Amino acid sequence: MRQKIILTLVLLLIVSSSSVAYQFVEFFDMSGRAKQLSWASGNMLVDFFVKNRAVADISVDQTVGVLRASYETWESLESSTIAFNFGGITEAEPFVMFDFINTLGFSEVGDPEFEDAGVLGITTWVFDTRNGEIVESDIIFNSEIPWSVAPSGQSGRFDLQSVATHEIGHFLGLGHSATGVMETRNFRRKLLDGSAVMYPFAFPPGSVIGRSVTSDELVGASVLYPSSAFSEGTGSMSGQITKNGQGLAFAYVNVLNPFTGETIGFFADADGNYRIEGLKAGPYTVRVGPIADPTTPAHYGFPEQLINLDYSDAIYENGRAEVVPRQDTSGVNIEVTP
Amino acid sequence: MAQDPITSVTMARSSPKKIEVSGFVGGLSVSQDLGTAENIFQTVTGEANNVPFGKYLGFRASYALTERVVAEFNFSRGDNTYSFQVNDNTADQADLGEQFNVQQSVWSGNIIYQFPFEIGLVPYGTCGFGRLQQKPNSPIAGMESVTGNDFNFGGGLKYFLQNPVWLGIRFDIRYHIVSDGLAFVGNSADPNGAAVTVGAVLRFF
Repeated sequence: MRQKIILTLVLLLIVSSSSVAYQFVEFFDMSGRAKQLSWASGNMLVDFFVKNRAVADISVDQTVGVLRASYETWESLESSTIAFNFGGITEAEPFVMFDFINTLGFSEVGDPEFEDAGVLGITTWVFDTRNGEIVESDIIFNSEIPWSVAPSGQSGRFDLQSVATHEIGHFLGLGHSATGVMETRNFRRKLLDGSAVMYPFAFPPGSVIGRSVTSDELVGASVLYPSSAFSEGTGSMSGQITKNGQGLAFAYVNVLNPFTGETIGFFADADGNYRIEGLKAGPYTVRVGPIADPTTPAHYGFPEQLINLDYSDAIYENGRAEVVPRQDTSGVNIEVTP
Repeated sequence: MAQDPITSVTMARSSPKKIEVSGFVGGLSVSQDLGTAENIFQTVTGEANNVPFGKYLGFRASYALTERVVAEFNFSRGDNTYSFQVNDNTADQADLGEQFNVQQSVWSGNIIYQFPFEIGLVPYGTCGFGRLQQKPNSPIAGMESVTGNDFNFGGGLKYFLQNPVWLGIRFDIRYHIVSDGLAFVGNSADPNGAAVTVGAVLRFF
């Protein structure tokens, strides 16, 4: 019987301004050690249910079809072992925790919590604080948002499948990625193609780019639920990001393997140390930068007072950064300057 | 009847031996663009660096079909080093030297058309066709090796000693044009470049 279970809520997407290496959802256990949230390794078939609530222009059956497609996107990753089972349509409400039913669905129309909130979706978890094992996760979509389930997207409407793909990434235990760039044009911000699906902001209305995961999410999910081939065929890179010789807390490290095109990002810890796992063999370019506008440390769950954003992006120029399977390429250190 | 030794040597030079083998060292300077790879932060281009003399070695074996036409087999191997240029959207640009090494192996069949002179000099022209394999010294996912067709042409000079007559030296320069090689994802490569070698030649029969 589980002794300690707590509830965690995280806001995932924001509409108004309309970007992973990967990042895990972590918590600190009673001894102060950071642990990652994940479904139990012995239970790789996770049930999910869909709330029987239709919204304007979108039926329950359409919602089920879209959500199953989003789960399939994650399930089809060959390097990851997690799989899902659609349990059926349910009367249960998303956000009602401790019912131990993984429920996805729309918020109640007119729910004041969502009016003008600018939030597209929210994922919640119930997990065992001893080991980070997720025992329940719900996803709620804001019914005040204009949604689309059209196969090619719909102008002026957010693509439900894209947003669901992001939220299911959280459902798996992935956090937000800082691999993204927002472009401002005509006083409107737009998330650029190539940005991670797990970036805190969504792709613009009409776009269906977010239906496919990038290398960042692929590696993140595979590190959490690795196939044996993935474990055998990948290595890691580690180092420290410093400023004035001191570790730089929560700096964002991004690597590119030009032979595979894989872009992976990862946050350093509070001492500036990082270790990116799940990297395919080959040479990498490595860069580091602060969390960029419009995202803030809060989007990634970091305490504002510990974050130093006063430094410039920098490239690793002090040698090779070659990753070898089953080994750690250490010492990839970067000193940044203001 | 006794034979004049000088005449004997002269006859040896004027009648090229059928079989030659040689070992050589030199440099293979392959020019190769790896192409361009990019993400939302940066654009990376890669290229081969020139290889210093002495990092390329191999052997050749040939059979003279006629006095002037020779069929030759070549095997050679050398290292090549690659560098990156990073053009970052916000960080400074950077030239990253010597980011990885590959081993290059060449197998080719060559035809030589030569002009043997009685003083021991044998200038020649040559062309050949074969395969060039590029194999990273450290693994690259999905690219254990890449092999392309290799067309080469050039010329050289052999010089055989008066004594012993079976020993000579050889200078060879040729240009390689290769159909495929290591490249960044979504790119193709066509390595090409010159190989300059010197070595010893042994001839028999």
